[in-house]
Amino acid sequence: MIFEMPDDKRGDEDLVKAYQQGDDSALTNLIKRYEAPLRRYVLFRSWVKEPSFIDDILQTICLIIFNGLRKEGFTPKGAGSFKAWAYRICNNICLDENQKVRRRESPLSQWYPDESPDELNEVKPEPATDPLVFEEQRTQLHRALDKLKPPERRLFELRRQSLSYKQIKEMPDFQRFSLGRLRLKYYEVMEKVKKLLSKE
Amino acid sequence: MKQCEKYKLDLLDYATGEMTFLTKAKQQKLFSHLRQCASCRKAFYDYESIYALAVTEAHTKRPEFRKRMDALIEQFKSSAQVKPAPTDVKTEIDSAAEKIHDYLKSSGRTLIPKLRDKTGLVDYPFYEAVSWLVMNDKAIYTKDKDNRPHYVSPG
Repeated sequence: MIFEMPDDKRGDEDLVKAYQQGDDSALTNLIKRYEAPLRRYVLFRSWVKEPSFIDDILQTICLIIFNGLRKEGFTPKGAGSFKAWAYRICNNICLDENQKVRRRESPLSQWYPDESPDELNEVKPEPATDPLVFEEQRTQLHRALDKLKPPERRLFELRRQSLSYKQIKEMPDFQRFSLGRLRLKYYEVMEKVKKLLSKE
Repeated sequence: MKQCEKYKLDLLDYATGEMTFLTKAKQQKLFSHLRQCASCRKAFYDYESIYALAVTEAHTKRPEFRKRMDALIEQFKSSAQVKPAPTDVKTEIDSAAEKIHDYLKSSGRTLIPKLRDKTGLVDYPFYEAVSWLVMNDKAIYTKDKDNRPHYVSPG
């Protein structure tokens, strides 16, 4: 189950200890607590937004975290230390992957600028890392989306599934729009969502 | 402000990974502008932030992602007999590279669009896998007169 905060009320460090002592449910609950906030962080940091690219990055991050937790003698120290450690790993992997995309001689990397956008990354505000804050923000977003008109909501939801303008244009509701018009409509919807969120 | 108006749609497209309208030249102009304009930078970060929050749920529910995460958690359960090394877990690029390599071995030199169709792969991971194969001498790009990759041959 995703986005149902586990009933497990144990803190992160207690879950780590429990997993290291053989409680597998502690590992499952820990990753379910952080899966979505970590994904959001990676999406925000990465210059490539494609879902399967993000999947690969998340898999790498989880592997490093899990292997770390299994190391003999590893203990996150102090409250909040598991979170800080996990996000440090996340940040480093994202930086590496952005560099790789820029360096690769790949037709895919033709889409990414020659000049480094990393200086923009350095001044980006950090997205919320705390799972509870993330859940609150997600709830606020849902409240904002509920205030959209049905066609606006539909367009937002289709882009939310990472469908391109070309793919959306093939759908019955949107066939009458040009790509340029669709693009403008999506901009109008995003601006509306932005305004609604700023009132929350 | 007139300058900012020019970039508003490009900003949103880039922040949400929509590349249909964004040529490389447009991206570079966009980034030049973002370096100078604090209000456009703020708009860019706002769109990225909303988009990342919105798509997280949809992305995480995808069956292919759930399968990978469940398999990963299973491998790291305390009761797991074998302790996995990172290379035990195949990425999407590894699988794509295998598919492409097998096709090239049996069919030889192939035009890039045809190779993508025959392997049934989408842009990512197709292009990433081809690049990996080329970098590891398992495939060779032949370029056209504009110096863009045209054919791929087995290495």
